[in-house]
Amino acid sequence: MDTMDNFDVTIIGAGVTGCFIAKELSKYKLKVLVVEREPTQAMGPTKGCSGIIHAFQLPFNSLKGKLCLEGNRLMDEEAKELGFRFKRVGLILVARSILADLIAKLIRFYFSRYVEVEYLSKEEIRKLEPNVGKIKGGLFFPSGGVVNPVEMTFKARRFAEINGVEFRFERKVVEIKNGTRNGRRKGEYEIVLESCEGDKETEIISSNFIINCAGLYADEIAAMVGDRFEITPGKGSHIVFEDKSFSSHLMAAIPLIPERRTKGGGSLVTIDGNLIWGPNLVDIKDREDRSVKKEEVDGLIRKHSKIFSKLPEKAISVYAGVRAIVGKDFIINSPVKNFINVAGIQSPGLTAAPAIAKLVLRMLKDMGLELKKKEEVKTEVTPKTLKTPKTLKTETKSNKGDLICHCRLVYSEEIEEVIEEGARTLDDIKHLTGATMECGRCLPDVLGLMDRKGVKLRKDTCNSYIIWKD
Amino acid sequence: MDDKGARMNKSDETLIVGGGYSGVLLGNILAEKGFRPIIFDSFYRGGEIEIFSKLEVLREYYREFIEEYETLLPRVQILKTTVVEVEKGEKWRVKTLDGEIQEYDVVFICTGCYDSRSLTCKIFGTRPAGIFTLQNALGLISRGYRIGKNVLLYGKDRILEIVGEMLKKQRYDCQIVESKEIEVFGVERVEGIKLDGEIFRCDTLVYFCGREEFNPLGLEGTKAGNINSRTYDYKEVRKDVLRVSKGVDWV
Repeated sequence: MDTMDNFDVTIIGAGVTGCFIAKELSKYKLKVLVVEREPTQAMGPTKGCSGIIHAFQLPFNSLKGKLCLEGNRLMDEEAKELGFRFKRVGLILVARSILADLIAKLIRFYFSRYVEVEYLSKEEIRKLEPNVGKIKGGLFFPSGGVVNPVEMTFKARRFAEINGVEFRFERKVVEIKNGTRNGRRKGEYEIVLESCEGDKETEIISSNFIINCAGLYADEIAAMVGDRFEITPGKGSHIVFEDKSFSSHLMAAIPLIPERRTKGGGSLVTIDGNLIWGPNLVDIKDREDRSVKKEEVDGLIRKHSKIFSKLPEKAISVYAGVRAIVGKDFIINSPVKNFINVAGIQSPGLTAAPAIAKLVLRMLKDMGLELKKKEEVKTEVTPKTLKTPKTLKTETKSNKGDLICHCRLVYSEEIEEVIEEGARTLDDIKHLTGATMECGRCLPDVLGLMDRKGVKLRKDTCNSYIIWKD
Repeated sequence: MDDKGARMNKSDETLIVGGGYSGVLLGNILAEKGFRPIIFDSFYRGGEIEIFSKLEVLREYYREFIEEYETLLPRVQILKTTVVEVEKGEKWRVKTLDGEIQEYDVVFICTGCYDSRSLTCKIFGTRPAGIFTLQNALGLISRGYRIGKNVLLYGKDRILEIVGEMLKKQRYDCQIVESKEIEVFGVERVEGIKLDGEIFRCDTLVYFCGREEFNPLGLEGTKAGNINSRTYDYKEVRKDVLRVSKGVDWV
């Protein structure tokens, strides 16, 4: 057992919070490990979210409310440091009745104590959003923005990796034990890991601190150290439209009755400009239930079309994510020595992630972890910016292998590059390069390329093989 | 459809975008009439005719078109380059991916089509591995991959029967179903579909409910072939190329 790997900090889960904590810790002289059961980062709730950087979260005095505002403020700096695309497109809350308009005018003063907001007349809104329907006015929050969650998380992982954080993918934590063995102690804990595939081989590592960022399975990890809480999985479905010119802001109607547990979704846009409607909130029993029922699609269209005077063209795909809800707020605490829960990270977890990482660092310091800054922190030499539709047509470039995706003009070498940087699944490649994102016709070419690079042909999770294995 | 707009002189510089069946057929028709068209294709040649030629049963089904393509291909000039923009004017300004701008008198767009996606085909439920458009399924099989074991073909078209026959020959379990809508279930891999309250077990879903114009960069020009007919029936594709070539005003 003397050869057992020993870490200062082990993070369980490579979703957006896990990767941002890893990225923050990578700036210090520490031995850090991230354990993830899937083949790559962000394949759980992170991938299934809407990609919104929220302007605010109610109530303002809740933990999630505070971390949301702080995370939003940090986002420009993070996007620059890590090299992911982030655009403050702005949020418009529209008032569809005289009463809602009155509410808007009144709550503006309350909101303005926390977040930048202005009242817009219906003419002003129509100027920004020509397709808007019958409205009275609304509130504009310029700080609302969008990212691609997979790209954002991947960039945090990359930063952590090049600064020495170790990532072990396809490993599930099956047991957490007290680190004292035969009277000798290496770290506070011993963690038993099991490989996700094949023989389910196990390995044991030792770690002084554990951070539980296990998303939908954070309750199972907490239970391993005797802490109990209950995760209520809440599914959120989205419809993606082909239309890139229908709307350019995050939009939602001001509800007259506050909605249960969620902000109720909205008419959103992706970082690439596609229109997205959603998410809804559906209570589910099975944490892996990411189905989108026909009734949900109809419901989303019914709900969000009310804001507009016409319907967008061509709904092209649907997707759902599952929120790991624990009560009303985030659970960020330390139930036992040297163990931190970062659980119940539902909306606005993506926005809050940079702030959560800083909070966890402060907690670790208070718990006695020595934080010594590294003399040098590496960043990617050339942070790559992905193509957006507007730059596409005017962009010219030298030949970089075969043109794989015609919709987003993605070359084989660009796909090879992200594989070399650590992309491991089709969904990784889709979100990081844009290939297969639009018409999907280049799928066989992308899979062929992954195969040649020796990457297993999986969609997202450990056993999601696209090509049949007998 | 704007295919009356092409007025041609024998001296005209003519560009065809796309070197699949339609582009090559059109190139030959124009060449026979004394023009010297040039074809741009991202891969020199190709199109789905080449995929069909690699698949048993489909090879027979499309024999006449495969042979026609093979015969016509050497008679035209194809360059490997990608057109990203065509701007209409007195002369058509054509921009390629390497940044070059060239001018042509006439531009034909023969970029074909792609199969409609899952939501268009009213496929609800989960999105695990093992769901393919017909086009992608054929592309993968032609590369020597096995796409599953128990395949459900969803849709209503003659081509699905042909593909079903091919799959059976390749030792797949396979059935064809049609409906207004279906619901997929399965978490990491397809486990089955629900259709009108009935459950069909399968590990793979291949669907087809129609095709759409493949012109992601919105190139302007006279469209010809499968970009118009949007089908797996190549008699229709040929008809469209002939129709367009007849509609051109010869000056």
